[in-house]
Amino acid sequence: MGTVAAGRPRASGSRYELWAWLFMRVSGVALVLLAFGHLVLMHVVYGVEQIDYDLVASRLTGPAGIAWRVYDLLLLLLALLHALNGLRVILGEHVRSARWRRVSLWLVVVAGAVFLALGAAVLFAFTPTLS
Amino acid sequence: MIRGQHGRLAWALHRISGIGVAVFLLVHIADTALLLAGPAWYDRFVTFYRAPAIRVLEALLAGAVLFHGLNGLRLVVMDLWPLQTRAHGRLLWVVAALFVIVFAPAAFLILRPLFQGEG
Repeated sequence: MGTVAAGRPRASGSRYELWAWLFMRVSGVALVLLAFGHLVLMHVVYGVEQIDYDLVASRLTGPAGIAWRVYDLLLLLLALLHALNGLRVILGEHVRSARWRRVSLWLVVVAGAVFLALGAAVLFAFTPTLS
Repeated sequence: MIRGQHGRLAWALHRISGIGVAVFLLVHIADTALLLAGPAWYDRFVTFYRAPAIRVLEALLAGAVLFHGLNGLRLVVMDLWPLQTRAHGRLLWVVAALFVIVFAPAAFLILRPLFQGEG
């Protein structure tokens, strides 16, 4: 995988890096729709002055609530993996020492697991206490 | 590598906006998890997002998401259809124009309570 004649250099290196490169593009395009949609919903349809427990509870209840949970789960998964892979690349370039690079990589993996579990716990287990 | 100063600036902004959005994502996952702790906990934290100073950060966040998304689409276009350097430059201006067109009303919407005076 060298450099193509025109355009930007292509991803090169290991098989893993090739998949990571592809994932960043595919998830990135999906996130433009998902994240922009989320921002429009929260800031245009609702507005932060309206967002509270009751509003979120009603949004995540009933058949439409299932659909929103699927939407949010997709957003959570793609955004988190996209963000952490981005951080991994940046850390890989800027952390000089091999040992600290390994430590920072593990921190990224652990943070990913913890925050994925935290976010998924809400979307799978949240049962609103309606007032 | 990356040609020209505008390309380098876009590259730097892509990283900075990416890091900013990533940090907020972690905060946002944590505050959303407060739903599991009940209404009192969730509302105590989430009403924080209404504070005037925080709204400025929210406008910045919206700008970071918007730029990162638009510039990311530009990178995808460049990867899928290798273009001439001149076309690369034009694509960057398209990103800048779209950013301004969308960000101006978005920032106004988020910051509106500040203009009206916080009552």
